[in-house]
Amino acid sequence: MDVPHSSGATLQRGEMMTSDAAVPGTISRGHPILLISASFPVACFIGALCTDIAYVVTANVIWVDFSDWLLAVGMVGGVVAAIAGLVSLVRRRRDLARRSVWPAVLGSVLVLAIGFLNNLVHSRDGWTSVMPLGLALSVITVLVVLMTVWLAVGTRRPRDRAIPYPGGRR
Amino acid sequence: MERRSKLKSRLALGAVMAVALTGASPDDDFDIQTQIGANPVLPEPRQYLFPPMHLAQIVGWKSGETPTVPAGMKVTAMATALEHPRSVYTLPNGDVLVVESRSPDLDPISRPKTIVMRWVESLVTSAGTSTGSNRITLLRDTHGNGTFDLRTVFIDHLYSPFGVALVGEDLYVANTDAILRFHYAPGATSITEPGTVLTPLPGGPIDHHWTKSLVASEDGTKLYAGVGSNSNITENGIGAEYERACIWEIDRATGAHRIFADGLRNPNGLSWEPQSHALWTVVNERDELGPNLVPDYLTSVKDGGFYGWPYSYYGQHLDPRVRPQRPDLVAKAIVPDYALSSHVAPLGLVFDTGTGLPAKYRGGAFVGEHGSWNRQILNGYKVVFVPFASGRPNGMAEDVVTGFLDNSGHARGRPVAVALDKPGALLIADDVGNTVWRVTADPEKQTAR
Repeated sequence: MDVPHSSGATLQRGEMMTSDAAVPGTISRGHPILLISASFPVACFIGALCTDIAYVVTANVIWVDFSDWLLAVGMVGGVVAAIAGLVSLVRRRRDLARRSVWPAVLGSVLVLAIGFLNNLVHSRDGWTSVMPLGLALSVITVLVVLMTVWLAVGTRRPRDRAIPYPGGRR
Repeated sequence: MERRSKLKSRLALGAVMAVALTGASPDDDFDIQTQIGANPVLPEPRQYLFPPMHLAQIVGWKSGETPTVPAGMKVTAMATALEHPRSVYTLPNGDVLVVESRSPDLDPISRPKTIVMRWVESLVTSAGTSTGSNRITLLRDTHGNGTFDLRTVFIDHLYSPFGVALVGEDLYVANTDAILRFHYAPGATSITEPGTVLTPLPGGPIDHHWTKSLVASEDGTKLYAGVGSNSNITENGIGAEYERACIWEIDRATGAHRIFADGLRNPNGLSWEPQSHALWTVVNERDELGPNLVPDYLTSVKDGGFYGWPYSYYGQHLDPRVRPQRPDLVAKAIVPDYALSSHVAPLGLVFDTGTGLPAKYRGGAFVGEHGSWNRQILNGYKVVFVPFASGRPNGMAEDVVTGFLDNSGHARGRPVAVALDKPGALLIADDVGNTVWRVTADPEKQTAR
């Protein structure tokens, strides 16, 4: 895997994979901690939506336990990524001047805020930990995650849009 | 793109606000007196982002401090420096058994919430010390003067015991996972033989509500054991609730059991009402539906009766957290007899069948209320009296033993099980005060009653 690296052409591409993270636009020169931690909220919040749906369909409580852990781990990864992203932004102030950074930053903050609320709602017992509010928040979280990725990627030049796939075709 | 993102964020913020608003709770002008008696006021269920939580910090009893009793009675410490006493039982010769017990602590960490709740519970030590305890201590008044001057370890190395019942010379102890039988020779001060298992009870691997209350039928042929649920509201799956949240009837000769009554979330204090000879129990109802739901209760128990948990409460009030629902069971759910108000956590029940207390209490029920955690304003933390007439509750509950909370809302103790001793005094196991309290009529101030 060639993404977590600190300079060079590879990272110009790595930027796209990771710009769905807490603070996109800064990631191209980001620290590996940011690159790794930022992938957790994306994978976990999407996973939690899947396990929420599985619970709603089956009413089997094991799916809520899965959702709870996914949301908690996603939150931890998100907070670590946010801290790393902030550090990155502060250290490279010229990124702040790029207006295109801000929608994605806002998106990332929203993801964390809604993710936190969703953790609280999911800490209830039984059916109402998911239906209806928990599932709604899971859907909104995933939408904001996708939006944030799209905003970050969408502001790049077309040739950068290919998202590198570990071990896949470059 | 910017506009869209604004729209999105507005939508999301709107959702956040809606959540925050539904989570907000005015706590609370609610009059808890309206939840005591046969027809409690039941507000709409409310769910929270942070459920209201308030645990009384444990400060213990300072030297000379005691609970408070009404004029005409007095309270003394019968035994102190116990290890998490949860239950008391009087033998025919007047000896008193104190069951010292700690939680088996088996609840697995199945979700992040478990970690948070364990931390919260560790603040109040209601689970007991992590060592010692799990034994029965015998207290004897050798001079018959109300001072229990002999103290011995009666049975040691038990497993989270709670209920005790004596039939003839067979002494039954309800560990959290089995009813054990011991041979009791009248006058014995200790038993060293290992007990034999009469019947296993639902214990691990989860064992959420672990206290197993026990009472023998009046003819001595049957035992009744209270088996609490394995969750608040089936969040561990309905499979974990097999033969739980119910009262078992056990044949004393064979150990065979059947479910006597069901849908009782955590039944404790099983007792025979002296006039009707019916089985009564106090029940801890479900949490996290608001500070004033669901009232805990005192009820008679009908053979084959279903009392709602988990599907409904107080008859047909559906719990929105339970899926799949069971309309067939809800339809036959019995409304309990007497609400005690919400989250008071009743764990002890005894009917006044003695003559050691003022006459006004005769025939009524004393209830030990361990105290709340799931509401901001503390409730319980006292022993109350429910008057009875013709075998039914008759009138408003009144406070009898208070002062377990000090003026700043810290807990000096928490009452658990209650019992009468041979002279008819009221005994109270205080599990965080590590004391057994003894309440008697005060002859010098008898005129006050």
